[in-house]
Amino acid sequence: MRVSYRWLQEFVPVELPPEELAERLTLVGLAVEAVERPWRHVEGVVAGRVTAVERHPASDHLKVVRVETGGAALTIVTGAPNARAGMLVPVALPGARLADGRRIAAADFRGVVSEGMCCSADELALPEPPGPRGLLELDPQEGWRPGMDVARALELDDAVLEVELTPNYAAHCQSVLGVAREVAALLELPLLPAERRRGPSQPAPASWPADRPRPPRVFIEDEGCARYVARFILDVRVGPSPLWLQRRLQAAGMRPISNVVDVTNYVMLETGQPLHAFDLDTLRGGLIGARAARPGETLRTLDGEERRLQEGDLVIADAEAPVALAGVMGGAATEVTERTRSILLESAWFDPARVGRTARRLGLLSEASGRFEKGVDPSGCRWVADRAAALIQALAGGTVPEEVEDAYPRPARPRRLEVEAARIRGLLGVDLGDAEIASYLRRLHMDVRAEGGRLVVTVPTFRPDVTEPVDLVEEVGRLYGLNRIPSAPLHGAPGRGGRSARRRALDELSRLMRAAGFTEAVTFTFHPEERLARLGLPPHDERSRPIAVANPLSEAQEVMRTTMLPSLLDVLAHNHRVRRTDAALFEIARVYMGADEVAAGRLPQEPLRLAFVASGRLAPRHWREGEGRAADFFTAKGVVEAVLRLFRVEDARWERAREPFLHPGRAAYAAAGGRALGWVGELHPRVAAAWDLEGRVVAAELDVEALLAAGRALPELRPLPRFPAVARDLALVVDLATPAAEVERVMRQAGGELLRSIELFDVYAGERLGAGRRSLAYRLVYQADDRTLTEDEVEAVHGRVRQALAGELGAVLRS
Amino acid sequence: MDEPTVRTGWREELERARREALAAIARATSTAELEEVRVAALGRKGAITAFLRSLSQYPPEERPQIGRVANAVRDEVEAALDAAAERIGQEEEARRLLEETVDVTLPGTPVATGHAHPLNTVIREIEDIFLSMGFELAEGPEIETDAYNFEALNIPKGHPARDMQDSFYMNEGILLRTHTSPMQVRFMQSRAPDLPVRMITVGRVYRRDDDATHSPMFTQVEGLLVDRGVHLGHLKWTLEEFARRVYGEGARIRLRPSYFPFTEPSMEVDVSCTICGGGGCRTCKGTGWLEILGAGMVHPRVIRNGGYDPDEVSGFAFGMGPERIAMLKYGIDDLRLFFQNDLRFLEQF
Repeated sequence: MRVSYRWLQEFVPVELPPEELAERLTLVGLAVEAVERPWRHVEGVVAGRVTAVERHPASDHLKVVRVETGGAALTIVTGAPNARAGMLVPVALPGARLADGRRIAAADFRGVVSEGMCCSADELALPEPPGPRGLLELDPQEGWRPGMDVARALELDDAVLEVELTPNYAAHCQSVLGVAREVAALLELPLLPAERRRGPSQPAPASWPADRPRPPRVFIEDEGCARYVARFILDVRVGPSPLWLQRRLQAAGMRPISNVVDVTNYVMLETGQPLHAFDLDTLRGGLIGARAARPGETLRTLDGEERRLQEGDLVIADAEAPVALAGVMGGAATEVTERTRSILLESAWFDPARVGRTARRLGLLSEASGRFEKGVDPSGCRWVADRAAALIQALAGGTVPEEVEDAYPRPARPRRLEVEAARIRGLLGVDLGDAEIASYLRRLHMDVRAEGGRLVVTVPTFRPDVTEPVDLVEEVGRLYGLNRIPSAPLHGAPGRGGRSARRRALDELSRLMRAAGFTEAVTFTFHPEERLARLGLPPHDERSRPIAVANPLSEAQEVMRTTMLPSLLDVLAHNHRVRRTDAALFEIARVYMGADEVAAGRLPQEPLRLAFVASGRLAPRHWREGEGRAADFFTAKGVVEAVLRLFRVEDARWERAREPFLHPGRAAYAAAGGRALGWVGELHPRVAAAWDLEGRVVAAELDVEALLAAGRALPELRPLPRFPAVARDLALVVDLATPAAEVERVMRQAGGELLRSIELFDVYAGERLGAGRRSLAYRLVYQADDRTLTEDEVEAVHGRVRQALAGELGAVLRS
Repeated sequence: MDEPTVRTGWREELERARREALAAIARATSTAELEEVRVAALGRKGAITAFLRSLSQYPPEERPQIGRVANAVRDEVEAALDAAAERIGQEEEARRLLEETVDVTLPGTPVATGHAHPLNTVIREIEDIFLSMGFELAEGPEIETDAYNFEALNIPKGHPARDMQDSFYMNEGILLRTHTSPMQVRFMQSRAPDLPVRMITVGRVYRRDDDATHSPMFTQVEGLLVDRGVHLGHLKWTLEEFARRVYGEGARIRLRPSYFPFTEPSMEVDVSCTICGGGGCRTCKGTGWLEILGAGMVHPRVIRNGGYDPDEVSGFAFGMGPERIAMLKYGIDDLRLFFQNDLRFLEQF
């Protein structure tokens, strides 16, 4: 909401510099976002009468005019097409400044010296009148006389406060009066009487002319209208508004239209009560009022659109048909035009929700509908109508008969709240006396009666936001000043505090990943559905049924991810685009499983995942280390193995993974204790290509909850060995199809308790061995807890291992 | 044998052996040469050893004197050998070390380490501050019911605050949470009737907004304290303490009344500008203050929804955006950088 400081001063005698007032208001809850002074540069511009207009001797489009400004007559060159003798215009004298800061000096225009400049509205930052551009015409009827200072007459030293209203202040502060009430309460100033405002508050008394048809009667047939006041102004002359009023509308961000319409807007800005003017002579059947729209009804609104009305729409209707959408927009047929002679002025209270719904459906949000939606004060309808009628009369002439229609079946009663003063003190943490509390509330126009420790507070009807005792705590707090409240250290027992074991494990995991060379990413948890399609998951796969967002802004938010892979591949693709192909990234975050649950109205699962992707080199090229470590299956698996060690997962099993998005020969599942832990592998080249990724891309996704469950909470401690270990090397040749894990299983089984460790130190496959064969070389370590193993014992167990390998796997032993 | 010849020559003989040995020791430049000298003088066939072995040739009455002198010579040569060994050892070590000299300006063997995301770094920092004040970390669902996200927080249907945070919906009753505040009620419900309640929660939240200053997904940190006798002064102290720990001892805060449906009184909290210290600069747009969080006293209805009696207990809550705090801390000017995950950006942290 934009508030003119000059206008505000007609309501409250505030003299603070606008910037300081802005600061004070902000600290009381009315956030002033900016203080603007669009006219601040204008100076030295006076009204002048054009006495003669002549052609410029050396130009076709320039004119030479004679202007009287009270002193000596001036010669001024102008290009304005509307210059004519007799008109009053703003004249920038030499030394004057225009709104854009330009200084005016006497200047030679093709041989004629111009002693100043005649101004358009735009040059003074005033609203441009309709029609072709030209000089701003000052109407003598508005009191303009030659020599008058334009900046002073039009309050061009004004400042506009741009106030950001939070919903709780929206209702009572959506007007100059409302802001003035806050200023008065804040600065302990009185509100000024109505006589101090520009224009009259009461129309000149008159009675209904006997020769005119009686005014329409008002009806209310729908609870969505609590009050309907109609005032009548007969025999008006519709025309432009005076400049001072136009400028104030402009300051508030509204466009001037005509004196009658401008007054309805002006008084709305002043009081917060939206008003509507009907052309009285277009209303039929001697009736006007509020009712629900009937099935099939339509209304052509002011903007020329034919609107189909719906059940629940609140309309204003005459005896025959709707004439306006209540609080939203008037009808075209009853619009005030240049030909309008008599006015029915509506000042009413409409249900905020009903107005909001209709305005939103039709896309007709306006200053008026917004105010109804926030809540206007039904108690004010009558005096606001009087003020507006009086102002219309002052600007457009006419008669305002004393006949007023005021339908108000159930007058609003001020709300009564009871609150214990001790509660206010207790919540604010300030030792305020009962009387001091009462004084803050009274400054806000509340009536306060103390009954023992209780305060009985009567809340004025213009404060629909104050509905319960805690609202009073807030009112007292903000007027006392939140920043004056002394701070108090926390006391009492601390909460459980600290990081949980789970959180510590996650922090460790993040540290491990970074130590392994991966950089942490934070990605969006939704993505286009098409990303999922790229993975080629079969329909029975749970991951192919994501939870969909019903109202995404774009395809980027279509579905919640069921796997982290698309998010991270998007990130990798971005980095490839900026030529960062050596990239290793990880994220610990959630995926979202359970479209069926969501459809059934239940919350889905949000399991936590660790995922990583990498391409290019994991370790850089180096003068000593050579080409660096490339991202491939084994480097990725090594990272996963490190993660398993971190979580103390000791019984992990590996098997070939079958995922449509992974390389069929270079991907593995890890499992432990019968529970899947996740997968790791190289991306299928087709999937890599779908993301425009070149070279090998590795990825992994692990179920963090499964890792936490599979790992030991504490390490299993073994005493330090007291007897020496014996190492034996073993090389064997097996079929390529025999997995290393199988070889190891056979060795462990045969080696039993004495076989302490198995180290695979060489893998070789080559022509020498023949096709389909490979050689594996191991170092086996034997040890006992209770004795030094004898040579014979070692030979015996090692022999069993060799026999088992040969017998079970057909291994050919080479040493 | 002719005794007088022998008798008159032993001193000269010893002296010669001594001189020769000492001279050879002085000449030796390596451990190997020194060993040769040792063998020549004191080895089994060495000159001094041979002399000592020949002592029996002398008359018994002279043997003690000759033996004393000969032993002194042997001791002297041994000492000289030890000293020379020490000297040569040091020389040889110095030579070896010199040979091993490398260009220390060559880059070391790389240990490729990744980088923490600045957002997570800031989140951990914020968590640590509140954890040290006895707050407990909690986690909650991101896909949330309308009931917890709105209704339980005093935001009924048609409330203007539902406009303020236009939401992503799954269906009528389920949406992506628009704030971490639902955790206030969830956490209270999980604790009631125990006191105190001190919670801190961090997580992703979602709003239908996407431009230079709004991201459809972002993060929030939410705090909640409920106990007997909690008042605004406690909230103020907690936030002052937070500001001091994040921005240093000199940081001040300012409270501006504001509006949240689930707290009352509600306020926006500013911290004195971290760049100019309050004098006014570009970052704070000349105001001297930076808005960093929203806070307030928990609304009685929310306390009741959490399973506590608002006549018995009271509480405060606050919420902040780690993105904003990280942007101010590191001078980041574009919110989108956090979620783009460009390595050229992330590797600077």
